[in-house]
Amino acid sequence: MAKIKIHNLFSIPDQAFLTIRVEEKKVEFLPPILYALREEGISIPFIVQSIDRNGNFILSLATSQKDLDWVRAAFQEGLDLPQSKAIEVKKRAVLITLYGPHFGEIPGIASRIFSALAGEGVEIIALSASLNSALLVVLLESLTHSLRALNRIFEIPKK
Amino acid sequence: MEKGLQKPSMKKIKIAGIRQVSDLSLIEVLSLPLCTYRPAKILSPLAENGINLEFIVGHGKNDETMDLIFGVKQNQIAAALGLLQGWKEKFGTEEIRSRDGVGMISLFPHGIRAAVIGNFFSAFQDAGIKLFLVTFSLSAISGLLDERFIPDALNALSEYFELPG
Repeated sequence: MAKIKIHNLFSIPDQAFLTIRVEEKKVEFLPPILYALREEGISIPFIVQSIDRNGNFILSLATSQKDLDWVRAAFQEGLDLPQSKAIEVKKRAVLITLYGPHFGEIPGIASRIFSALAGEGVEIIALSASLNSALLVVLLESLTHSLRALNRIFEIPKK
Repeated sequence: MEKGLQKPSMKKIKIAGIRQVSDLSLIEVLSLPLCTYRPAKILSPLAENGINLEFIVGHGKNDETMDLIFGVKQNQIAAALGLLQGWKEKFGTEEIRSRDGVGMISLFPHGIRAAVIGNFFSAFQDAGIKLFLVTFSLSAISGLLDERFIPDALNALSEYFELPG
């Protein structure tokens, strides 16, 4: 199968990945928390949100590992969450970004990404792909395998 | 956290553009058992049958499962669900839900900062519009909503963002 040409692939290491489960009524407190992060100069290079099978919101985001304590405290306090369970954290995460053709125009990109990474035994922590990019979160120990897998399916311009 | 969890004084954020799409269907494969090959096996039949995903999000992972949410054009939902149902009857334990009449609004800011995300959520909250899904890409943040509310959402977003021109 021919490789898919993309414009670029890069990774951002030293990320912490947080998954927050919250009742719908508390979602109104999200913007003030995000404004507080802005005030602190904290960047969020990845964020997705969906609704789980019980109607609660799941918010997943990545932030620099050095900002983890601040970010976790902001969400814990801002959403009035119990100390345990409500926020799951994965440290030593890496955000991989694929910048390429419009995602909706080539069939099977997601399937090929999942398949290639599975072939290398990589577990994807999170994924968001739309328009012309795909963002993947994996653990640092999987980075080499992830890049090897992605290089098998994507043609990445040499720098 | 002393700096306060409140909205700062309102200043519109300049953005590069905004895009809207309607006639989408949302498919949610919830509590997908964790097995590295599982997502690929679910998605492969869709690709083989020419069903393109408009977007996909996988997250909500715990030690046993994760949720996989993706969008297809509304005229492909029946075929997509048929293929997924075939999979589920053979192997699946996950819950598959779908929703028609979904729209997608994508905002293209000049760099995605926390304030952009905050304004994005604020606009939808002000308009009382529920976001089914928020996806993230290198250049845009996108919200999936009931397509009937796209005009209201655009109005609300215009209170927080300034379009060029």
